[in-house]
Order: sequence, then C-alpha cells, then structure tokens
Amino acid sequence: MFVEFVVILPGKAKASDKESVFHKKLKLKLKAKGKEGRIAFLKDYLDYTIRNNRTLPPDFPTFVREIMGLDTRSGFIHIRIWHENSELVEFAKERKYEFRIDHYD
Amino acid sequence: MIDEDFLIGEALVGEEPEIAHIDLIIGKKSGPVGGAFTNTIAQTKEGHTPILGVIRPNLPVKPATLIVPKVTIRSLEDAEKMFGPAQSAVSKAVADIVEEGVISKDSVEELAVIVSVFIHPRGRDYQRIYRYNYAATKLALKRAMNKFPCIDKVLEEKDKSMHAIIGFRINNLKKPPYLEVALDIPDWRRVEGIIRSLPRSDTMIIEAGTPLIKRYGVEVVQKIHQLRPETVVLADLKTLDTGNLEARMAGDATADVIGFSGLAPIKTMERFIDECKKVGALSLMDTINVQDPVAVLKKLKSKPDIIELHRAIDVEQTEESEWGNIDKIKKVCNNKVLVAVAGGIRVNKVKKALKSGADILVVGRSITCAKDVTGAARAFLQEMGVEEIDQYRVMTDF
Repeated sequence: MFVEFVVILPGKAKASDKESVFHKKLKLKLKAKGKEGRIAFLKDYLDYTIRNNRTLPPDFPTFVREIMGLDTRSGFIHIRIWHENSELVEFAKERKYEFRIDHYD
Repeated sequence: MIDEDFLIGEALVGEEPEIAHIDLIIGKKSGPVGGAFTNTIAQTKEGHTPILGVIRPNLPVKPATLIVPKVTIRSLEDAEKMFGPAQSAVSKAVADIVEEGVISKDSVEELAVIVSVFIHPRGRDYQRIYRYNYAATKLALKRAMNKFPCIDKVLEEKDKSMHAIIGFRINNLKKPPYLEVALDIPDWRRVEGIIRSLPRSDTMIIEAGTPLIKRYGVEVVQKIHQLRPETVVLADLKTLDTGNLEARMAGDATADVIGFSGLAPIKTMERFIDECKKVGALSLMDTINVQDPVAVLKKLKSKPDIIELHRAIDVEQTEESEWGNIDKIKKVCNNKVLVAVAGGIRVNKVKKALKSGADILVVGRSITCAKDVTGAARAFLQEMGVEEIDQYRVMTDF
C-alpha cells in the first residue's frame, strides 16, 4: 500500500516518527529545467559535501547516472532513499530545495 | 629530593575560554632542566617570550620557575594576561607547594621548574585565569612529584577514556560481549538508512561486509565512520593475497578491525596481522571453509585479535557448540583472542552463544532486514545484558 504521508516546503522538513528502513521517495524539484538543471543539482550536491567536509557518498558515480536518467514529473525528480534523515534530505534542506518524502508501507 | 634527571607533570583545570592547561618539568639546576632553563631564557622566540615566576615585582619564587607561553602572544592584551594573572598564579602555586612540604625547603636552591602555560586568546576574566592556572600548576607539580600516573593507571584508562577534543573513544574491544551488525547489502543508500536506524552503543560493531566493499571500495568504511564516529567499523576484506597491502588500504580508510581469510597462505596472514598492528587496527581471521582453524592458528607466529567462526550445520560432536570448539581456539591463542560467531544468530540464541564462549555475535539479516531495525538491534543488546563503557563511573579524578 502506498501512503503519501507528508508534504514539506523548502527548509521546513520534519522527520517522520517512523524510523523504519523501508525505501522511500525523495521528490525533489530541480532549480532549473533539463540536462543543465540536473548537472547544476549534482554540482550543488558535490559542493555541499565538500564544504561540509564530508566523505563523498560511496555511490556517487551510480548516483550521477541515476540523476541524469530519471524522469521529471511536474518538475520533480523521484530519488530512492531509505531514511527520512538521509544525507540527501539534509542536503535538500540546507540548499533550500523544494521537496517532499513519500513513504511506503 | 628528586633522584631522576627530571619529573613531568600535567594538569587541565577550569572552563572555557579561560581553561588552564599546564605542562611542566622540574629537576636539578645541574641537570637537563637547568640546561633547558638557561637556554630558554637566553634564546627567546617571538611570541613565546619566557618570563621568570615572581611573587611580586622584584621577588622571584623559589625554586626558580620559568614560564613559557604555549600560544603565540600577538597583542599587548595577550601579553598582559600572561605577565599578569598567569605569572602570579604559577608563582603562588609553586610557593604554596613548598609551604605544603611537597617540595622540601632544603632543595629549593637545587631545583628549577619550567612551566608551559596555555591561555586562550578569547579568555578575558582575570579571576578565572588566575584561579585556573593556580590550581593547574599546583596539581601538575604534585603529580610530577608523585610520579603520577602509575603505568597501571595508564593501561587501564587508555581503553576507557575519551579525549575531549576528538569527541569519541577509540574502542579496542577489551570488554566483550559485542554485537556485530553485518552490512552485506551492496546498496549504499539502504545501508545509510540502516546505520541511521541502529541504536548508538559502545557494544556495537558495524561490519562493512565484503559485497558492500566490493561494490564501493574500502572508502565505504570512512563514510560509515562519518555517520558513526564512535563506532567500531570492521572491513571484511577476506584477504587471500597481498596481506600487508590490503590491510594498509583498509587502515588508511579508518577501519578499526580488518578481516582476512583463514584460507590465505600463512605468510599472507602474518603480513596482514603485522600490518594491522602497524596501523592500529585489530585483525580478524575469517574461518569460512577452513577445515581446522586450530591447526592454522598453531602455524601463525603472530595471532589475530579476533577469530570469526561460522555455524557448522552438520556438527554432531557433543563437546562442541554449533560454532566449533571455542575453548580450544582461545587456548591456542593464550586466551588473548576474541571469538566471533556468525550464522543463525537470533535473539533466542544469544544466551547459548555467549555461554559457549563467544565474545562477538555477528548478526546480519535479523537486524538489517527487520521491519524495525532499531527494535531488532535493541532486542539483541538487551538480551546480551551489556553496558556502555564507563556508564556508571562518576569522574572525580581531577
């Protein structure tokens, strides 16, 4: 069963009480359209990890391919995540992306 | 009074930003301390000008005391703190130590003290600078004269203490049992979700499983440490060749424990174990498909820190547990080894595994594939009945 449980506006993200490790969708609106928008998003993510002195996500090469290949739905790309507080969500909050998280039961 | 060339004392007292940190040496004027004293006073360095300890202007303290600023003095404001409250505090502390009899009056002409003083540039409160530096100097001198700490204290504390600056404790697994959560899922974002859901505990080890490492490289260990700096992370390399090279790679990626295969050539295993010692990691021998782990261990000149045993489904001998003869393995390693057991560990088997002598319980899907990862891990920890390092110690040792 699919439950859309929370809608979050930029900078207002709130973790669910559920800490379960089921896969979820981070629906994130790119700041620019098309291929350039995706490249800008990836550059922004890289910039975020470097400026916060974080180790690059080990799946970054896969992530790049994934982002470049994802469909856009009403301006949003749907990224698979497994935790409401994942690094991607932290990034989306800090860099003020419009996003929401869909949860599956 | 002092038989050695010199004695060393250290103390940290107070609260930030005026916190005082004193390092000092005390010894005979005729020995190396006297030499260092004269050299330091004769060869000043910019920003680190040494000054004599004085009770008041024109009244130097005895034993002769040289105060050396640790932090470079960049302004008159910094200089005033050092030449005012800090100088006064150190000198008063030295005099009081003599009055209290810790240093005998008869020996003051023979001795010299060099005190290295730290004052944070943001420290402003003269009362606090004075009091903290007085207390720290006194404590450091007492400690020096009493040769504090004894080596037993150092050896006990090295595995319990946490350094204030790094903010986490390097856990070298001295107090079993431990719960090892094996992350064999080769999907980083899922692994990240699992790690974020695991409860924080000193008794937990996170294993970067072989499939995870094969997919993302050994750097995945560093990413796990970014999420859990305080947790022991095991890199399960299952190395079969180039032992020292692979151990070094995992050590460079910040692994706390590094695993090799018990099927590797003896030379490879020995090089692996030695390299682990060099990089400060523990070595783990995985016994998958090893027919006789005891025979392999007997051949090794240096033994691994951990042996991982896997469930032998067909075991019929009554004297062995389903994971093998743990006692025999410990004996061949002079009881200086931890035994990890893997395979089929459920909450209801925890007691049995511990009773059979296991020190580390390796659990994979029972936790990582549970609908409630947090709850599943907590159930194991609760059944193991473990407590955190130093959970019940009240720190009164200042």
